[in-house]
Amino acid sequence: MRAEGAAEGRERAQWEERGPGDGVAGQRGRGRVGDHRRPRPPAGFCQAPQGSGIRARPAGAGDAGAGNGGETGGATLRRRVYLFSQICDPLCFFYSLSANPLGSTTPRKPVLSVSARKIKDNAADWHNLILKWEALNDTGFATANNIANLKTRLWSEDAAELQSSPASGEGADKTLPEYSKELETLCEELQTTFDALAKIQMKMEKLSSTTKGVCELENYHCGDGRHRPPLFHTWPTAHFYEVSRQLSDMYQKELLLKRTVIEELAHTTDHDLTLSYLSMWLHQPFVETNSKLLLESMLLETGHRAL
Amino acid sequence: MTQDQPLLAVHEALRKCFPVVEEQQGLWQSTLRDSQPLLASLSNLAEQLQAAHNLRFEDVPPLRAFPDLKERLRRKQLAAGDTVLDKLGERLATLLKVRDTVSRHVEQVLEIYEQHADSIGIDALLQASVVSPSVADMLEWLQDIERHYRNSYLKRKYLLSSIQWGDLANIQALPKAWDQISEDEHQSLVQDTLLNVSFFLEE
Repeated sequence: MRAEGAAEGRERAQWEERGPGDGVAGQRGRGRVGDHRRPRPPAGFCQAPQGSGIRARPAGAGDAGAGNGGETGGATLRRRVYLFSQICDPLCFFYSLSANPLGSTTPRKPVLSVSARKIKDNAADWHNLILKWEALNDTGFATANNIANLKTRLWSEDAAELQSSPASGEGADKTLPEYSKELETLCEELQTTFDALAKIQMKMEKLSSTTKGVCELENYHCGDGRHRPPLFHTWPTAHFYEVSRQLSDMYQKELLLKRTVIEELAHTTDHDLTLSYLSMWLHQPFVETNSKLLLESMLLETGHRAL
Repeated sequence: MTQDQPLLAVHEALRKCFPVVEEQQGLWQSTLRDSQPLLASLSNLAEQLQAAHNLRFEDVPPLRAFPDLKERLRRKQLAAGDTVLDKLGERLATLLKVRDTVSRHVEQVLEIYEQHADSIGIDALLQASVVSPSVADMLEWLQDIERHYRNSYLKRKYLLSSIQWGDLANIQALPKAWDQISEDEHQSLVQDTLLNVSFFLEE
């Protein structure tokens, strides 16, 4: 136990030492290490959410995105923050291990190393970010749908007006400002949603690069040929990076597509194209179906999901 | 008194059967209602597939940056369609359960009737009172109801099994076709029958 603690101390020192020299990744690493020092709940509080924390999540986790939206996501998030501050709290950790069926049957390591904690935190962040993304995707779709409907309505109104009074230039002047105002509000709304999505995507990129940082740290630490025990169950550390990379690539492409959609949606007059833009927004063709599998296996590996 | 015994047994069986029918009818109706949004979303998906099919993505300059977009989109749309189809399959299974439950209960009533058929006179069988329809009528109604569920289930099963992603027009017309089945049926058959026997059940 003590040796483990000492090793952990060394590793933390490595983190901090490497920090400034390592540029962006290092700073990010330091910042995130700092996250462990976020305010912790009072000790007594640790026990309450423990049982409900991890168990309550799976129900709302995967499926919450579509219907339940923000409320569920928010609740999950708060619970998790307690959970994490608790796991990161060395004093509380013993308790959380003994309560964890996995930990009690195969106590691989009494205390997670800093790298493992980091990876575990990242896995949880992935889950939360994807949940938020899905909620925003729904919001954005509703707005995009409104834009498309409004366009169709205005289009038919325009057509009707043109037919009834082909030469009245004044009529067109009257309808035009109203036209752009309503549409513009909606477009701004969609832009706001997109910005939020972009922010999430940026955070995903950061998750990838911190995971890469952990890999590099391990390389530096272990060098070549030395035995590297897996941080959790079976995954080598590099595999976490691989999964993170795959996920963030998907979302990056999806974001690009969404940008195209918001740029084009309000300008297209073709019905099929409008419908296809909406469909693209909704179905997210670049977020592949195996993304769920990747995320869930990561959660399973890091112990967020019970085996 | 002993002469009435067989008739009473049949009455008893009928009194047990009709409440089951009423309960199952509720389930049947709610299942039909729940299916409508699913059919609407299938129809909607078919429209999306059709729209994407009509488009040449390579002719849309902003989409040229995404060469495999069309195929990816189609795959996702079809996956979403499969999810809806699975849910519809569950609804259909519920309808089948209703059909079987009703059949089983009606069968039991008929069995009891057949056991006692010889000892119940034809007059007693046909005799109706102000509060109670005749046993013969009630048995016939039950058979009508059973047949109604059988037919209706088969028509809906057939409709859903005719879904093919190659025939998008057919999928787009699904909600109408589904409602058409209800319209073609004698819609209030079960309700009317239950009203006819309401006094008999309270007796």
